[in-house]
Amino acid sequence: MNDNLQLLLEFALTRNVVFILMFGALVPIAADLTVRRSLSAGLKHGFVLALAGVIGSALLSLFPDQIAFLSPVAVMVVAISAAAALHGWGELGGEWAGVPRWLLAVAPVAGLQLHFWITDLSGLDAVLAAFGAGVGYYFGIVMVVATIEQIRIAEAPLHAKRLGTLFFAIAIFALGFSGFQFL
Amino acid sequence: MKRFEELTSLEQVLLLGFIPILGATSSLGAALAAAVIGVLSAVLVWLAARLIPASVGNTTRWGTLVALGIGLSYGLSLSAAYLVPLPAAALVYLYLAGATPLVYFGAGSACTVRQCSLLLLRYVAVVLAFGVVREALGNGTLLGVDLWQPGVIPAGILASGTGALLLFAGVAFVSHMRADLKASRARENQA
Repeated sequence: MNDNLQLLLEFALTRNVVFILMFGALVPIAADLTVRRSLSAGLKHGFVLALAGVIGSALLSLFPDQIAFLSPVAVMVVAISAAAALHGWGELGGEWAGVPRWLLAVAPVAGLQLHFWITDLSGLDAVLAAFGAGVGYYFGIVMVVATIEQIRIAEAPLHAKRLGTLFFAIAIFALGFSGFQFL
Repeated sequence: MKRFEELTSLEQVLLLGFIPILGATSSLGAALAAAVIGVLSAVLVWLAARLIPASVGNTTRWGTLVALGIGLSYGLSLSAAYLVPLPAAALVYLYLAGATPLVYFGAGSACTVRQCSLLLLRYVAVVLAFGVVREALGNGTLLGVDLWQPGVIPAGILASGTGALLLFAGVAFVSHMRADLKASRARENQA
C-alpha cells in the first residue's frame, strides 16, 4: 500500500483520536447531539481538528531544537483558537459542569498536536495524519452519538442504560479499530 | 445520557478526569504523577480564577485560565518525569491533564469549595486505584517490583488503552448496578 494512504488510514482508524489515542472526553460533546445533527456537527469538528493539526505541526517545526521545550506554547495557542473557531461556528455553546462547553474541544486538538510533536511527524506526513485524524474524529462523533441513541431506546434495566454500557461499547470499537492491518 | 448534575459522583469524576484516568494510569508512578498534577493544576487554576476580575469578559477569562492550566500541567509533567519513572506513552496524557475539565471545575459556576475538594479527593482515589490495578494485573509489578510468581502471565490488555477503557466501563457499570439494586431493595422494604 502507498505510504501516504497508509498514514491517512492509520490516523483514521488504528490511531483514531477518539477510540485509540483517547484525547478528550467525547461523551459530553456527543450527549448534546442527535445522530442527524452529528452528521453535520461532526464535519465541523473533524475539519477544525484537521486544520489545527496542520497549522500546529507547521508552527511546531518553527521552534529550533534549543527552545523545543517551548513548543507546547504553539500547541496551546492553536488549541484555544480552534476551540474558539468551533464556538464561533455555532458548536459547543453553553456550559457543561459549570465550564464553557468549547473547553471540551481543547483536549483532542492539543492532544493530536502533542502526539505529532512526540512522534516527530511533520511536513506532508503531518498534513495527511491531520486529515486522517479529522476523518477518524468524524467517525468517532457519529458512532458515539448513534450508540448513545441506541442505549437510550434500548429495553434494558436502568443500570445498563448509563455510562458504563457506553464505555463498554467504546472499548469494543477500540478493539475493532486497533485490529486493522494495512499491508 | 443524564445531565451532569444528575450523574453519580463516580461518573462525574470519570468524565471530568477522562484523559489522565485512561492515559496516565498504566503504572502506579504515572498515576501518582497524574494525581499530583491534576490536583495542583486544579487548585492553582481555581486561585487564578478568583484573581481575574469579571470585567475582563468571559472569553478572555477562560482563555487565560486554559492557557494557565495547560502551561501548569506541562511544566509539572516535565518536573515529574525527573522524579518518578514514567512510561513514555503516559507523558503526553500528563501534559494534557491541563486540558481536562477537572482542572477548571473549581473555576466554573457549578462548584462550592466543599464540592471541589471532595471531587479532587475522589479523583485522587480513582487515579491511584486505576494505577494499582492496571500495573499489578497488567504488568505484574507494583512501582517496578515484581508481584507474581515466575510463570504467571499478567493480563497485558489492562496495561493498554483499551484495557483502561474496559476497566473504566466495568467500574461505572458495577457502581450503577449496585446503586440500582440498593434502590430497588429500598423500594421493596417500603412496600
